Amino acid sequence: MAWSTQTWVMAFLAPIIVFMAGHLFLGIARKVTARIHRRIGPPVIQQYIDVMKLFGKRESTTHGWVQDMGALFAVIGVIVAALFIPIGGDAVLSFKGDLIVLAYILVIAPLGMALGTGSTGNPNSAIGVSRGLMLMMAYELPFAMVLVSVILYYDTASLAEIVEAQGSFKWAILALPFSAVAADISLQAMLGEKPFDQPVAPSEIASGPMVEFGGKYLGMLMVWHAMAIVVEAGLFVNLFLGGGAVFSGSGVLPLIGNIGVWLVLTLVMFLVSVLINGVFGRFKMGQSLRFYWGFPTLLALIGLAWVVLNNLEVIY
Amino acid sequence: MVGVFSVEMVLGLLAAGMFISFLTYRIKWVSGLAAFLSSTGAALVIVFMGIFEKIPGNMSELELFDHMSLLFDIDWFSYLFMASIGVIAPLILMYSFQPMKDAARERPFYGLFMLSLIGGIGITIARDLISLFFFWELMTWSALLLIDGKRKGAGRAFKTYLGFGMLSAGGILTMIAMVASTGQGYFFSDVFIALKDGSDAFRIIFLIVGMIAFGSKAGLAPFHIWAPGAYAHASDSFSAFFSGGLSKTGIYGTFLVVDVFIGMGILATYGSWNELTGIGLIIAIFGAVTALIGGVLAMFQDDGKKLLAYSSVSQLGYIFVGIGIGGSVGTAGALYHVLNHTLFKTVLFMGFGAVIYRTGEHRLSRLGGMIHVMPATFWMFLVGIFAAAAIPITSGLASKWLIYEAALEKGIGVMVPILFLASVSAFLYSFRILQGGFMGQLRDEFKDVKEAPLTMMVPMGIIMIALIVFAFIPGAPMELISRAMQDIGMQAPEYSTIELGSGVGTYSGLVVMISTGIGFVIACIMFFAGPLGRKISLRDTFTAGEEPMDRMDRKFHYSWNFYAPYERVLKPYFNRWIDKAWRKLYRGANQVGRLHRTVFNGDVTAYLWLIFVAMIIVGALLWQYGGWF
Repeated sequence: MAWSTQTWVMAFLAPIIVFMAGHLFLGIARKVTARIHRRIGPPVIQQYIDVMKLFGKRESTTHGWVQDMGALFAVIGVIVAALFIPIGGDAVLSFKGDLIVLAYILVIAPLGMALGTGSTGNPNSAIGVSRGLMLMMAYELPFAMVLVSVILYYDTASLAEIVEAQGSFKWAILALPFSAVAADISLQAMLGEKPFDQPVAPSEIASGPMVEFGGKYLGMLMVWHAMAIVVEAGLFVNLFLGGGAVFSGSGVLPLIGNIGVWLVLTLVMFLVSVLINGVFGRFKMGQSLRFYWGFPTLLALIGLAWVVLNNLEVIY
Repeated sequence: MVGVFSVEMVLGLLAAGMFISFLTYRIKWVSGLAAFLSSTGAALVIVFMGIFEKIPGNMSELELFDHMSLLFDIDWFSYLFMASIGVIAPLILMYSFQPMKDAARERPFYGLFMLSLIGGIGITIARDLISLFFFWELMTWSALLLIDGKRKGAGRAFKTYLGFGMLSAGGILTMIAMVASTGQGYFFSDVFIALKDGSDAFRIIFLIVGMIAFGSKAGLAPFHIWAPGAYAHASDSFSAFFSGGLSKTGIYGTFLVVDVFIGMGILATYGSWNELTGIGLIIAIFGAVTALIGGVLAMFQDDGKKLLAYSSVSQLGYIFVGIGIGGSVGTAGALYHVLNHTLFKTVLFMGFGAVIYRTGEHRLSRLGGMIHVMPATFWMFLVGIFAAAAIPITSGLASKWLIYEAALEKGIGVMVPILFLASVSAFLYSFRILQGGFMGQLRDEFKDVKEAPLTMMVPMGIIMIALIVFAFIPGAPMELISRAMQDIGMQAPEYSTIELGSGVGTYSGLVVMISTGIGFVIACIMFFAGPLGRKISLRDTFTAGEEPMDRMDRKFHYSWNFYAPYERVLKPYFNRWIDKAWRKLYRGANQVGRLHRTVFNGDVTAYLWLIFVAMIIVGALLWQYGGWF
């Protein structure tokens, strides 16, 4: 695929779209959670207000340049990730790096942030980061199996081609239901919603990684969090829900429509996990490992076997 | 006529350096300088050999004794391994100046180092099994003498390494004997013919013996148990070369057995599916298990060097996966990972070695906060960690990506999640060593620690730059790799300087780096728009209202029992049961050995009695069956 004008425009728009949507989604999530708890909740735009307030703080404190670098890395990583996932059927840059590359790009932000938090010297942040990494170990096993099933099913590791293959409502969720369920369960931990919010755990380790971050620094982390939510839920949409590409044809209008559908589907996936979040407590670390390496892994294995058997039928 | 850019020149330079370093080992700086200069010369010759394309050279012969001569030649395939071992050697020698200068003991470190370097390079250029064996033993024994740490457990590490060294030596001798039994010569081409003409059982046994001989050197599970101890207890400067450079000879040997001696064509006759040979699949499964075991055990190490050593085992597991899967993408991935691992493991051992040199402490739970006193070392170490964890802003991703793609291309579904898990464990152990060693709070006793000396920083910096540059141009090393693959009869996957491709996807290093640049600009605008943060002291942290006054430095560094929740769950499954199985074998062998001590118990009177009894028996037999004699 060549570098068309659309690619350039989307490459600049993608981070902005993800940024705006992320804060909106978080605002909606706060409202929904409040309603589950029978509260009224903050206005939907509260997240924008919070971030603006944090960036507008007159003073913030830092423990040194590594903490600055951590805050920067978190945002850099998530912007790169936003550039490498297709948005509304438009590949942006994802034809230049496939799912395996994306899987590693997704790690830049958390590892960068881990560096920044570690340098603060607060044990709470180190505990939070170690929990986050352990959680990653738990959910990556079923999630990797899901990725492999999708890749083997469509015989390509390119996310853009996977989205293309799901055109005209041949969504992967219908073809690979077991994998989709396993992926959604993994998404819960990826988004850091309860019962898998151990890395943050405000009541235990004082918000974990964020504990030493205030003002502008916390603002950077909140930007990262908001964007990461859209990227991760959007990844699920791209893998299983056709990537929002429902309007065919070239031009600006179908593209805008597709982006809109992609955002709505992403919001739906995010709200599913918010609803689960609203009614659950928190697992212990060992419990989440046992959970993820149990039932979801079994589901993902069934999904994988399903794909392999399916492929064999195609061959013979 | 010996050309300037030839194998003889490399060996000659190294041998001269070795003799001078051995002779002058009491004058440390002369010894070190001789080793450094000669290995630098050798490295330059190696580099120019590649640039001027003096490859393949001519077969040359070095006569040692009557009827015994060593045979060398070079092709692009062995050049790749020779270059990766030969080029990092001068860097590590430069790095070791300072620690060796300060070491109290006088010992021929540089001489032994050069000897092991000659062994490592000799292995890659040997052209018959006898020469290979000669250099193999040279490397093994000189490395053995450098496992001389003073910490607890060094003795056991020494013995374990010795045991597995004998195992691999025995393996190579068995291979030589097997080839001899066919009446063929010992040239690699003869070995190929011997195996082609041999029976199936002959080939399979040869393969298994070869995998034991060479796999054990590279730390393939279940032969990996020597590696952590040996790497951790070798001299701090030698660990980098041991793990970064010399372990590649095991990989080279495995390639020889699988792709040169036997060949994928013949392996395919034992069952293959989707261009994947059954035997290759078994090797790949062993590799994946090695990667996982190494990674998970690395997570739970408190000794930083041991953590890096287990990580080395894990990374070499990936290479075995690439070898096993084979084909163009898999082999390219394996060879690429050889280059990558050489670079980043060297810089990791160097970086942590610098911390040990300055603090004298190797336990992560006793370190912490080193970024505040050794910031430059931290940066270099960080780039190494990023490469080890395959973060896309270093060259580390390219090779792992190729190995993943190979597995996906061949449709081995379950292999990828295992490798992925091994990769996540790499994130975990990476963070553990960063957090334990460099981040967190600085202990009072390390307040005055200085930055690493310049002779340590320069080699680390060179490797760091290489790791970053290759992230922009992941296709550049493919030039060498594709030539190496042609020499073992394979076609490299499609690539351009900035982009790698496989049957299922693409990875464009330049685009990833450019988009990282875009992200950097946006993040910087957001970050630097407002006023900068006010710097506060390290102890000025949120403590939920509590104020622990006593021993604050100890309490406030979270690094002990780091992944305790998972240790509780995972340790029973990964609890070094392979080590225990080997130990059981050792005890069994010991008991058998002890049986013979009941007869040969070292008592001279008993021996006299034995001789007396034996004489009576022999006499009786002679008397009865005298006609026989």
